[in-house]
Amino acid sequence: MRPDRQELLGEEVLSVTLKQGCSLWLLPQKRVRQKVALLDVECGSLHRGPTSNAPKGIAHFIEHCLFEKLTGDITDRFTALGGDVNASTSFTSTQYTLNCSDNLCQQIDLLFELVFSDFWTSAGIAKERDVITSEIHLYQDDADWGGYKAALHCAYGEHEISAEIAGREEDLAVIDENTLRSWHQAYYRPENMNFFLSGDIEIDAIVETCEQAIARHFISSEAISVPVLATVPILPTVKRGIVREFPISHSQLFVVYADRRVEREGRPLLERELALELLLDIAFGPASAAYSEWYERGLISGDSFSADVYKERLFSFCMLSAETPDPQLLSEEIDRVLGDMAVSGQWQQDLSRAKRKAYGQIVRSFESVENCVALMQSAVSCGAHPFDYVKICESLSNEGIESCLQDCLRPGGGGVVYIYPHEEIR
Amino acid sequence: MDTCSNYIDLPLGKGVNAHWHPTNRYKTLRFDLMLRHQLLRCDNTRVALIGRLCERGTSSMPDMRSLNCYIDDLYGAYFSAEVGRIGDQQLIHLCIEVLDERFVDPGTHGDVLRRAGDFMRQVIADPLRDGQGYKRSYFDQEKRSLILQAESLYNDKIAYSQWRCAEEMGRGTAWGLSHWGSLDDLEGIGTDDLWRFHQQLLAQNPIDIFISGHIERDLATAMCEQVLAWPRRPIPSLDPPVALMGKSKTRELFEMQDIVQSKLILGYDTGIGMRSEEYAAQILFNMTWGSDAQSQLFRRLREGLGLCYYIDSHIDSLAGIIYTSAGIEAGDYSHVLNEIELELENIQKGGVALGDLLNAKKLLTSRLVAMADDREALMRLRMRGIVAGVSCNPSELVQQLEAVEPEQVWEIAEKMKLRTIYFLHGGQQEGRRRT
Repeated sequence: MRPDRQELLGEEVLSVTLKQGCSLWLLPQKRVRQKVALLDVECGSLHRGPTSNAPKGIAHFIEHCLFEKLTGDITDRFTALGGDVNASTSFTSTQYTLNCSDNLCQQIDLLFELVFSDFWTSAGIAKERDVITSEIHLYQDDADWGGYKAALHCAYGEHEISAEIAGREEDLAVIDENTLRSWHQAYYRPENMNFFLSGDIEIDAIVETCEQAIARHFISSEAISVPVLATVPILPTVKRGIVREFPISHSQLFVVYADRRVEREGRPLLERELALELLLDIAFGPASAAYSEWYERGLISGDSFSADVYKERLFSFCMLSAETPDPQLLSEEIDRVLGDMAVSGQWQQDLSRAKRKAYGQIVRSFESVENCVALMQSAVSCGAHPFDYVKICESLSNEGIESCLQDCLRPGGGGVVYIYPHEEIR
Repeated sequence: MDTCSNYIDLPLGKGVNAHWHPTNRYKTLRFDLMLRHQLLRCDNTRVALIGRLCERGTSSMPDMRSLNCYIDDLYGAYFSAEVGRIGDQQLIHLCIEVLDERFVDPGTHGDVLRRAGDFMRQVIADPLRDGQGYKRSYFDQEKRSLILQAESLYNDKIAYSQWRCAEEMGRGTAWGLSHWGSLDDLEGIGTDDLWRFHQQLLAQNPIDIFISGHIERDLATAMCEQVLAWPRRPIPSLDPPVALMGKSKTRELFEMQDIVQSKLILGYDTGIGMRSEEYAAQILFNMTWGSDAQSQLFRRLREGLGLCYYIDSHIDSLAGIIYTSAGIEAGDYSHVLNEIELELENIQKGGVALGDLLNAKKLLTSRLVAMADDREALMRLRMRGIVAGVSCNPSELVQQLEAVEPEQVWEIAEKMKLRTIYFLHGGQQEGRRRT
């Protein structure tokens, strides 16, 4: 057991790797009634299965199917203990979340049962296929999601990262008991999992519960080797000016800047993430000159403009999006601001303000148990420690920030998508 | 300092309700100000505009840049100005959240709170003006932004269809008015006239302040007084809303858009508001009916029949309405409606396993207990109680829930009167796809 204390925050994180392989990350918060646990399985839509030919959308499909057990939907058993359980699938992981105030140990046991015990039936699979088809349809009407995916396509082309996480309807048709079983055996193993928990907890009891739960529910078998994923390659020339139509009221712009420096790990990775966030905030944040000017000209509406960093081990990109009457003009303006920044170096004047803001946000993210868990997950999945966020805020160098302007936020280097309302709306 | 599990009243006078929540739980101090006005067709657009103008600039911070720099310098404080609604009342809601002194430079102790209070006073009471009204260019820009904001609702098909159903349920009453304003009224609003109206709201209308964090009573009072530095002539409090009871006939409304997934929204009135003795039973009914993954509708329509990805239901606790919604295939319209109807009949007959009802109770209780850690949820619940004219806190609700008998839940099902069926669809062909 390794305890780490952060004096300023007054918080402690304990981590231990169980003998079965699963790593636990615990952040106790006294006198809080709510408890949040997250079981993170390292497999997502980018993973391709043991033989690299798994059907697309299978990581998400299995997340749905695992809730179905011999005795019915396992959700009911959480409910009976007063707990809420949910799950989601991303590019690189499948996450099972528990939110409760009482009966924690029993529900942790259930959480491990949820992921380890498999019960595949063709009727269950067929029904889940319908449900997921409906989920896919939901996203097909969503311009925010459509714009985001189209932007990724500009930067990464046909790579899996620009495909739907849930797959397409034709992909779902080939998922069956065999493909599910082989995926489950390959990835749903203790050594491929991290468990995060925050709340008013007793450490020893939690560790014991997790160990026993794995022993009870995981049927030990020989590990199947799965291919290690490579960094997602960026197109030599990103696409600019892709057009999509949606049933929306106003046009929108999406710009993606893929970071060409991604082969990093641990604290340097978090540093890079922070450097990009600071630059975006200085260039386009609510306190920037550009933001005010665009707003006053009617080029953006304050509510819809956003600039975010998505950074993991395998990929890293910045995504800007806005509702705007003139997507083309706004994309030129964004490049102009980045160009000015690189030449003038004026960003340094705003750096201390941006850092102060970032510091405030980091402190605040340790405020709720939900955020604590999310923050631990995001640090650990990058191979870093949760408290590294506090450290890098102090240690980040100007050179680290400057290099972002060369390798990522380069004027003209972004993938650009214009979203327009359907013709009958225009 | 003792940590309280809920807000407590802080006597302030001036027709202002102040609520103080001393607690060590958080790393920030949160200050909310809510100014309320009856939703009226002649005023809703004006209130919506005022809310937006609070974010544009003040005498000493004359533009967005200086306003946002001020906020960033306060260790990236969180600030928002929003216009919302509670029942048939409209709300200008300002919120600021700043780091607790434990986490800031010792040199700036005391300063952060003072600066936060000063900021709030300026944005609500001292917007940038030229002459007798708001600065002209800001006023014009915010009219344009308001239109954009209102029209953007169209992009979110779930929110859009939910609002369209609510609008139809409340047509001809305050319930059917949008808190984003009625765009037709924009042209007739002038900047001088609007600023006079703004001052009238400040002087007369009910104001609630919520302060939560590591702060002593005296400091909390002082901060309220620092913000509320204008003369008040409060009007008597607004009347609590009366539950919205529709006509006996069910209305079926269809709208077509070029969408893949259709949205079905059902508006039922029960006539049971927060003041009703049946309120706790209604919450339990809603949980059993369609709220969350353990509900009867979720099990029947999604888990049993695979007819949808989401199906959900929620209570408008002031209107006495239960909205039930689902994203479905257009061709499944009748099938889904029929299944929902069958499920309602099932609950009316008491066809829910008692164990399931007990589990729903447990889950609700667990969420209400955890609410003590969520000051925003506590504030919103308290505020709804204030508007309804009834005291309402999670621990009371837990007790009331405990006492609810199964028969009382079946009785709520009996009271569900389907008033409006709203269906946003992409055409009737089954399995329609866009290419």
